[in-house]
Amino acid sequence: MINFDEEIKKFHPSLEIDDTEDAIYNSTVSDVTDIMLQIIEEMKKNQ
Amino acid sequence: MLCFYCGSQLSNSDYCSNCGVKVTVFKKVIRMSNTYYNMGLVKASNRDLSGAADLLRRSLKLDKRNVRARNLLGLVYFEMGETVQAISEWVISQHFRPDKNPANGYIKSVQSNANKLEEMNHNIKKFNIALNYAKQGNDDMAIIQLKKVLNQNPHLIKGHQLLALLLMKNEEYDRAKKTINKALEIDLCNPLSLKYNKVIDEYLARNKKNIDKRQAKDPDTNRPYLSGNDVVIPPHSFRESTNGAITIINVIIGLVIGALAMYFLVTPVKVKNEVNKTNEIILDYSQKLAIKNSSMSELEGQVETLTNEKASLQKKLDKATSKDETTLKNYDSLLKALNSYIDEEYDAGAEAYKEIDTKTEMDSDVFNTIYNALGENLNEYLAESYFNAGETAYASGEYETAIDNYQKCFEIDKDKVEALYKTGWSYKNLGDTTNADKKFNEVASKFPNSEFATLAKNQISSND
Repeated sequence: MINFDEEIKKFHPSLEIDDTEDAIYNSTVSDVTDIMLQIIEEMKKNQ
Repeated sequence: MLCFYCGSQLSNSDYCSNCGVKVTVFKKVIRMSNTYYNMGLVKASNRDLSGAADLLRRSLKLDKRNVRARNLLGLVYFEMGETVQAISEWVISQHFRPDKNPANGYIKSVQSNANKLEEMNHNIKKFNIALNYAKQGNDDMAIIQLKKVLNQNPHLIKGHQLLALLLMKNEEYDRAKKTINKALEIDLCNPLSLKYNKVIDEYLARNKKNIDKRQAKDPDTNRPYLSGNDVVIPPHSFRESTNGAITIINVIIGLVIGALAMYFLVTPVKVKNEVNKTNEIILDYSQKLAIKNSSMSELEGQVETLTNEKASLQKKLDKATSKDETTLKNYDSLLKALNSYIDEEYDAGAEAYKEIDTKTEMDSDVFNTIYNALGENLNEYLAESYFNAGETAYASGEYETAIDNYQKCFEIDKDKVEALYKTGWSYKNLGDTTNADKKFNEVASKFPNSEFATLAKNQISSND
């Protein structure tokens, strides 16, 4: 059986067109490559 | 493939030829990203949009510069009705590759139609309002709003899912089934849609089982399960007649009813319309007639005014004309009198002088001077002339004329007692004893020694 209250929590409001700019700026565009770079930088520092 | 550290082009070697950094792991990461992209592409082709989105996100976690994966993810979001997320992915894709990027075309097509964009925005707002209603427990309002949203954007999967959830809450499983099927058509393997679909199917199956059990127990109750969308058509009890005579009778009855309906319903209305039309025409003409009558009265009034004005002007004209004529006559008479006087024809001069109309005002000073001077010189003759005229009139019985001439004579010649006496007799002959006595008294008082005084006294005595 469906628990309505639990199910309704899964739904979130959609972003409006005006919020597109903020959505782009706030998105974490980082990947494994960035992590690798960080590791290399830390290693260099430690050296 | 570019080096992650310095950005230079990599070769087949495990090290960057420019910066010397080891790129083995980096190359593996890139390859994995592409693998995830390929898997995502397959899923997207098979309409498993949620699965495709998941794999594409992983691809981008490994290599954020994977423009193809990002573009495809944007398309998947757009198909799922998530417009803002789609645009975000395409904008970021544009950032990593500004030229020769399909994302440029996707963004242009979305933004080119401003009205469409505005509509999309309104739709998103409506969905958010509907979600709010649902969280507040206002299910009816939420359902109404969601229907409007899905009408505008039938691809909004979470809209279908939320509507299905609300319908299930209100135990409208048939309608919930329809809407969740629409969600599954867009995204075949959406986990939430599949879950709801499973619950709906279970309920419907259970319900069908119960109906079957009931039918088995009591065969008479074969009423099927009715949902909100079913329409019940009652069985017809009407049976058409197969007898020809009855059909003809029915037709005749129908014609008679039709004729009666025409007579009682249609004809009075028509007659009434005609009467109304006629009344309108009569009213129109009455109004026109009234206007004409009023114009005529006005014109008659004007005619009367103008006639009166004309009469008044005519009088003035006549007066002016007659005055002019009299003035001319007076000048003529004066000249005659003057001429006669110069010729020493004093009687003729006096006669002409008498013809001058003293009632008409002569505006000329010269005329008046000559008139007065001539009058003084002709006094004696004038008095004689007036007396003779009086005598003539008295003899003819024209006593009024006689009175006028006698009085003029006496005015000029105050010693002419006979003129005064004869004036009295003229009044007496006219029956005016009052004036007659006055004149006789005057004679007696002013000329007591004259022969006429005694005669005048006698006349007074005989009138008492």
